[in-house]
Amino acid sequence: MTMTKNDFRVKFPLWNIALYSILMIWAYSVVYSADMLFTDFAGVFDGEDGINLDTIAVLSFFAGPLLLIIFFIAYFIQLNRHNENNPNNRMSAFSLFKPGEFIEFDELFSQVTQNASKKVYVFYSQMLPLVVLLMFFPFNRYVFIVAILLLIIIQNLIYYRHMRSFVSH
Amino acid sequence: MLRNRVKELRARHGFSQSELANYVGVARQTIGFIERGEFSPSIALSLRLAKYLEVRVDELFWLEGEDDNDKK
Repeated sequence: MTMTKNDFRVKFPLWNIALYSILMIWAYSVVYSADMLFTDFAGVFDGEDGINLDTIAVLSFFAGPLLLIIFFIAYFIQLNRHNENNPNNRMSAFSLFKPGEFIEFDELFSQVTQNASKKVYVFYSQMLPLVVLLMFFPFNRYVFIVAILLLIIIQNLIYYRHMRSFVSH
Repeated sequence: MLRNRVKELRARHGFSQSELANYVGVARQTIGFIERGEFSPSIALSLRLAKYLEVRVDELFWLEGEDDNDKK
């Protein structure tokens, strides 16, 4: 068997990046909606036209779910295609305890997966204290959500680059 | 560093990397990394490789610094 860079398991971190990017877009409207709810819609009905809403939040509110639906349709198509082509290495749609990007079908790839995970560990051990530092400042909650989602996106990029360097040989 | 004769013996048997990988149940890349000395296989995989290449394990793998000529 040859693992190629187009294998779904190798590309899995890119799917994670796409998902978290969409969640980042949607989170803007979710935070905005929560702010409205918890402040009893203060300022929303004060505008000259009757309703005063943040245009970006309204766009995010509708674009987020739409993009999520498109994402999951594409994801399940790719997942089914992978499982049909690799009946011995099937992946489940939602695996909590074994992330889809873990490739452990032989001992080299088990070691590569361990090394990639080690890189991610080092990344988090360096970046999480900086996120704590960021939280001392009185920014909007959305900033903290974006910071955490960015960490997850960078984590997946680190993982993907490491795995890809091995399958490219 | 672990040295080996996997590439030489594979060629002698007329196996491609993919064929040998299928015989021993690993990815093609794994054979490539072993041949270049960039990955040290487990004892189990070494035994499987030795079996398919029809040599003893100590004829297939040895530590750098040992007499390389003895292996040829």
